[in-house]
Amino acid sequence: MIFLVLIVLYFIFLIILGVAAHKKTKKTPEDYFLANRTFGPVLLFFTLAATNFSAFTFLGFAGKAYTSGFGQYGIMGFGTAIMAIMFYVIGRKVWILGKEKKYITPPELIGDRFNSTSLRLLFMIVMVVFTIPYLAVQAIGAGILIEYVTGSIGWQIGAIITMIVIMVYVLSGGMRGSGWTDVIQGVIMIIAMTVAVIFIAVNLGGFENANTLAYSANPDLFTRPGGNDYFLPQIWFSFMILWIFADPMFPQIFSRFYTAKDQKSLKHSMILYPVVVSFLFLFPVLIGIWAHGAGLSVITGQEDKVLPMMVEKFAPPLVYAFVMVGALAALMSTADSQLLSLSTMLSHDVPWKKHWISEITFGKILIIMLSLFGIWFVIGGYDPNEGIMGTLVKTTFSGLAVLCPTAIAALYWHRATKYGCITSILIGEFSIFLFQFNILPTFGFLSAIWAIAIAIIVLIIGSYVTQPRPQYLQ
Amino acid sequence: MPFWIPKKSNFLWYLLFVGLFLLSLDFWNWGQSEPLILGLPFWVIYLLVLTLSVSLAFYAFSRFAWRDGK
Repeated sequence: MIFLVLIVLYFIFLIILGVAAHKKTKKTPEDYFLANRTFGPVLLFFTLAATNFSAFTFLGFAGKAYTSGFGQYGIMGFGTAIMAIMFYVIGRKVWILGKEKKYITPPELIGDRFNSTSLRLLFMIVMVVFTIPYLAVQAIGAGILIEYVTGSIGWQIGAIITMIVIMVYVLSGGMRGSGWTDVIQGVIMIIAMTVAVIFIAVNLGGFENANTLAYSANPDLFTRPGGNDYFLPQIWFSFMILWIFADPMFPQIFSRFYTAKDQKSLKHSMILYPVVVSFLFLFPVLIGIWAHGAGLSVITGQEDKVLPMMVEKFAPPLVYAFVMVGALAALMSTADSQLLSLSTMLSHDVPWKKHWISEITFGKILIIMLSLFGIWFVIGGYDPNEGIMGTLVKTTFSGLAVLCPTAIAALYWHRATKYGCITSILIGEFSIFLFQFNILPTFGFLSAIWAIAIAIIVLIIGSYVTQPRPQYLQ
Repeated sequence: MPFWIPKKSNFLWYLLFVGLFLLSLDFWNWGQSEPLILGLPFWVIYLLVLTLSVSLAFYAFSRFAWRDGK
């Protein structure tokens, strides 16, 4: 009941923010899709953080730590912190070019740099194909969370309501609405995780005692390779590399580089990112590991429920309800940004003939269509772990990481050509599936690492055997 | 020279960030859980400090190397 009251209040607040953002938004694509490039340091930092930290950060980290141990903190914490260097490498250049040439989407910049509609469309297709299933997964995750906490609302109903709320505030407020709600969601997320870890630690006899209990129950989790021998050196190395290439290629992150008010905003975000992840990512990992010392047994395959189970066991109902709203906030802040970036790309990068309709209206129609698509997935009883969509979800990070060499070449390498980039993306993406289905050996590394290496090599060779645009020849 | 080769002006920054990255590959700590500090394995504290050091490195970089122009 407390959860229901909190969640209703939370949803209402998000919609109010969306409507307030609508009143501030002018009817220009730049304002609706990019908040007129006015995000200052605080807003930009929170929107970059909340967008990147999804339900996976809350529930997935705890679940993985429960099975494999503290290694989860290393690959996610340091990996995400060092990734913020890309706010300079990619973000700064994207911001400068975006402001100068009025770019709105990532594929627009890439396509314009190489004067190639084919490359622009290819870049967009890859971003869309790997982001849509992830959006559906967020909706399903919200439904499962609501069903677990309430016990009476079916996950389909929960997912549909969440999707509709997201749709309403994104429709009304565009990027400004998404950014403002990200700040609130980010703050809720940080407070919820901090409160959760404090309550559990206190009830387990203090921080040190909670660790000691877990160590006595399962010492493997305190070392590497950890449980199930998961954190082998190859996997460790792979994850440290993966986030650097994958995270900035999320369309919802890439687009946010355009929204910065100035370079100072990007600098502040870069500096603060490691500080937040150093603690925020440790908390769910601790909770997952402490579950062993607390004598909690989790059914195999249900590990992602370890965090809700622990908070339910050790915190009062109000705190439990609040932490679950925090998990929902993490999930929704990612989903709303995905929804907006997908609709922006589909309305702006596909050469539709839209003489009869404004770009904003068209974008809004796409937001509704994409939301309905997500709802259709839910009603259709779609299992996110199965079929081609399941494969796409599992390969989202790899699939997007393959775009990174092209993005860097577009920004820095004058000798790069559109043919080099197109072949790099096509062969890189194709190779992921060869590694994913074990047609090619990975030697213990993540398939993404090989795919990134292949994409880089193909890009270099492809560019040297073809001619760059004349103005780039010196 | 290709753009990814460090220049004299940014060589130290390359060294700093590559160095931090290499320090995160702490394979010498594999198989160890002790000493425990506040119940946490030493290597977790090491990674926490390393992550915070990245923030310091970013601060220094944005202050002394990141120019606001093009």
